Amino acid sequence: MSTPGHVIQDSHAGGHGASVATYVRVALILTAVTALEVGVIYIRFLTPIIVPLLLTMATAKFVLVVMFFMHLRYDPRPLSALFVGPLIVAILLALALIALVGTLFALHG
Amino acid sequence: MAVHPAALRQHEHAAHAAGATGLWSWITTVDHKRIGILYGVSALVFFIVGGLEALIIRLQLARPHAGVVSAETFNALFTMHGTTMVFLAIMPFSAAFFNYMIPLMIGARDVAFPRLNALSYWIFLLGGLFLNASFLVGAPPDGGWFGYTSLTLRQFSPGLSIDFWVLGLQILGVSSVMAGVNFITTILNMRAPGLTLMRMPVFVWMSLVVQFLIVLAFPPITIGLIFLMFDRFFGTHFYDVAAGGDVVLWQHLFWIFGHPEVYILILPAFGIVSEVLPTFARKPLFGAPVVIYSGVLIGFFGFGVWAHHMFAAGMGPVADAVFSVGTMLIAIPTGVKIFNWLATMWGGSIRPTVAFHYAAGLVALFTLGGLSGVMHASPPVDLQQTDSYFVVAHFHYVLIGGSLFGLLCGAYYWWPKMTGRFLDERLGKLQFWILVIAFNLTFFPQHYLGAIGMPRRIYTYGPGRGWEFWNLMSTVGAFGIALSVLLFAINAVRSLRSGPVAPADPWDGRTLEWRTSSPPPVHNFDAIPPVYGRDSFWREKHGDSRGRKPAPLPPRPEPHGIHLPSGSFWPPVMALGMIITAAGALIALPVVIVGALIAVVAGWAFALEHHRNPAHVDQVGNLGVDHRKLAMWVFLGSECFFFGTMIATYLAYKGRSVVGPHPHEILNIPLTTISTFDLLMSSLLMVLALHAVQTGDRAKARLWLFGTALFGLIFLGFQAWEFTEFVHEGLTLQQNLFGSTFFVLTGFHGGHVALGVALLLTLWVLDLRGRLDVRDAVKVEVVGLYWHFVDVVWIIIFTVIYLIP
Repeated sequence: MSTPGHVIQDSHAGGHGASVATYVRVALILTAVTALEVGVIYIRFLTPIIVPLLLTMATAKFVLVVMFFMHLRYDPRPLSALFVGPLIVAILLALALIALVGTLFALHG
Repeated sequence: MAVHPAALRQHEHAAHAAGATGLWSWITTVDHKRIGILYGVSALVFFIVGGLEALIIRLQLARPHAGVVSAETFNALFTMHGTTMVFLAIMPFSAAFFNYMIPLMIGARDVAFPRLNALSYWIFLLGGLFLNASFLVGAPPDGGWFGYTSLTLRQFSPGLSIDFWVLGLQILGVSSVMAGVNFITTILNMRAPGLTLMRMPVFVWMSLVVQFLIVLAFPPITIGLIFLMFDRFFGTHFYDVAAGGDVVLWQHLFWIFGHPEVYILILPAFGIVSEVLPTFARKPLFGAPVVIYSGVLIGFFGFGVWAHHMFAAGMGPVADAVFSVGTMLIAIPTGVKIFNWLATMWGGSIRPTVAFHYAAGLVALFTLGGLSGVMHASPPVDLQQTDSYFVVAHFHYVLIGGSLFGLLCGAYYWWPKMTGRFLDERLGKLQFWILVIAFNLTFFPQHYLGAIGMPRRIYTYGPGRGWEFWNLMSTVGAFGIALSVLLFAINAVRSLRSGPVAPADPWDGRTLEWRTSSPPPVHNFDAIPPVYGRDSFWREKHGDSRGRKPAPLPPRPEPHGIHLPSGSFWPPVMALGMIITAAGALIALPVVIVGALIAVVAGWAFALEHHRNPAHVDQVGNLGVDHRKLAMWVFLGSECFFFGTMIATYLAYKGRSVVGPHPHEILNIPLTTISTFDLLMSSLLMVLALHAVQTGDRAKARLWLFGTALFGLIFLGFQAWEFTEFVHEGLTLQQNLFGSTFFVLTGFHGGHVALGVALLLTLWVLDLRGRLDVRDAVKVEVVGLYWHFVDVVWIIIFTVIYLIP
């Protein structure tokens, strides 16, 4: 148990990872990437690579929010493990599910 | 051991405090020990119900053409037997030990969130009663414990029976995930100083693995149940083959949960055995770190082998090969544990107590179940054995020979700690041997019955197939098991009435729970116990392998005294609201509304009950983060599985609608881009709000909190407008597979946004009333984490639904 003063210190340690300016910069980048995402779907010559391109941009936005707005960049490492570990397993499971249900459909079809 | 009264600080209404008795004190209790006892007693009652169902099943099968029950009743009996034993008996028996023992074993005074712990229990209890209430209205679930579609669709199972099952399992899932988040936070963040992860008792380690399995494996089945519920209640097409759906999707979603569930059931037993064998062999656990790593590996591999339950579904050679190899691999860490237990007993100074008997029994009987399990890893062999009594024999060797023996082992081991009295060892040994003989008489012949072709789940059979004798033996054995359970009950009652009084450390134990009185005081320990290494209490008493005792450590200072959480009646009220909501789904919409209102009001009261309690301000634990923040991150990991499963289903079903409208004909990308921008900017406002709260700038805190909520409401407005437009253009939940997947995925995301808005507005109102300041920054941070997560989920949804062609 600590005094309120200690509590403030704890909260700062956990929450003061970035400045307001950094948050605004991240928001601007998110806006720009979103605009890019929407823009590229109308560019015909990008069609062959549109899916990986969109997924890359979505991943970049995801990472930016998690690292800066959710402070994972500044918080103790175990928190990253608690989130990134399940996230990776969830992605693998999702990919397996898509592949397996899709395969079954192909066999039936 | 008594503590100085001045040092024992409690809130008002501390109903569970020492000496408080009576029904109300139990209803409002938040004490982990009492909740553990409640779990144990409830599980025992459900275990007896499930056991009676099993006895009727065995009576029906004792001879050919028996007419004890009808085919329909038989279906209901085996469905409810399986559901009850898995969700209402074995899991909560484990939960009883998690609750009672984990805080004691890690040197904590309670769990991280005592009231949430009570809420988990009440949801479990009322959920179990709800499920069994189906018998009272003549509609018990009858689709098997894994409820395969299409059998469970409305077309083939009209009436309420499957509705009870679908709603009941969702309720129980909520309880389990809450408890899982709570225990992960407790174990990671509330260990006594010096109790590093690798010094933790193996039971605590296995419990930690199990909690991760629970919080990660329950979301996929929840999604499967939500799809099934929508198909049954609202006419969606998730499992409608004619509309492009796939019934095998259910099998995947069920077994993605179902296989980890096997480890959820067995790992606690492994943990118990890993505590009992060293105690009664008077040796440290052989290769304890390897036993821990093996448990972690079992948990990890457990997520990659689910489809071995589905070899007969025809997944193709590649999938069969992958899941076959994975299943064989999982036998390695399991085998490692077996050898480590054998090595622990080898050369030990064995004290053959009843607990030791059960531990040794588990090693032998689980090995048999494990070996028949490895046989199923081979697809050609599995094709012969699947849906036969061989499989029934296999999983009963795992769940009785493994889980139940482990739990009985724990019951005999920790009974003196929990009650302050001994069980009768002589009667216990009699019970053990009756159980060993009866169990093997019941289930070993079922291997043979399966091998000669008896299918599972048939309600009767004709004579002349060679099945009669072994079925009769199996039935005799089942009554032997019942006798054994009866003897345990007699032993328990006799012990509680007049059993010999147990001292604090009756077995010369090795871990911290034996360092306090039997039963422990309400505050567990007068001083947080020192930790000198693995098997800390043993080292304290007997020294290390050379007999050197550690230098005594000074007690951990607790300048503010001992804080104990006060009792609360909001957990049972909130759970009641949830059950009324579920019951309303089967009765009428107004009942749903009443139930939901009760749950929401109770939830609010629950959340704000201790808002200004100074004892709740500082909750920073071992990891250097606040319990609430840690719990939120664990929960978000669970949410990754929830939304991951839903998005995967959307993608798997993409382009499979047999009628329009199709996505490219209807999706409005420019409009959704604006709502996406709105949601992204709400995340910026959220971090600004947190920053303002942390720096004590209340005016800005109010502004940004309201701004975030407003942007959330604008997003919801966009979504409502979009949904309305789609309905006008002919896309509804029922129109096609795209409509079903689109509305459910985006609708659930919208529901999360709505909850986030409610939380933000609550914080904003608190701020307006001057009740939110810098001490509450962690609350804003936790709500912010949830809000940002909802945002990142939308980033993915926006891409996969709207942008990818």
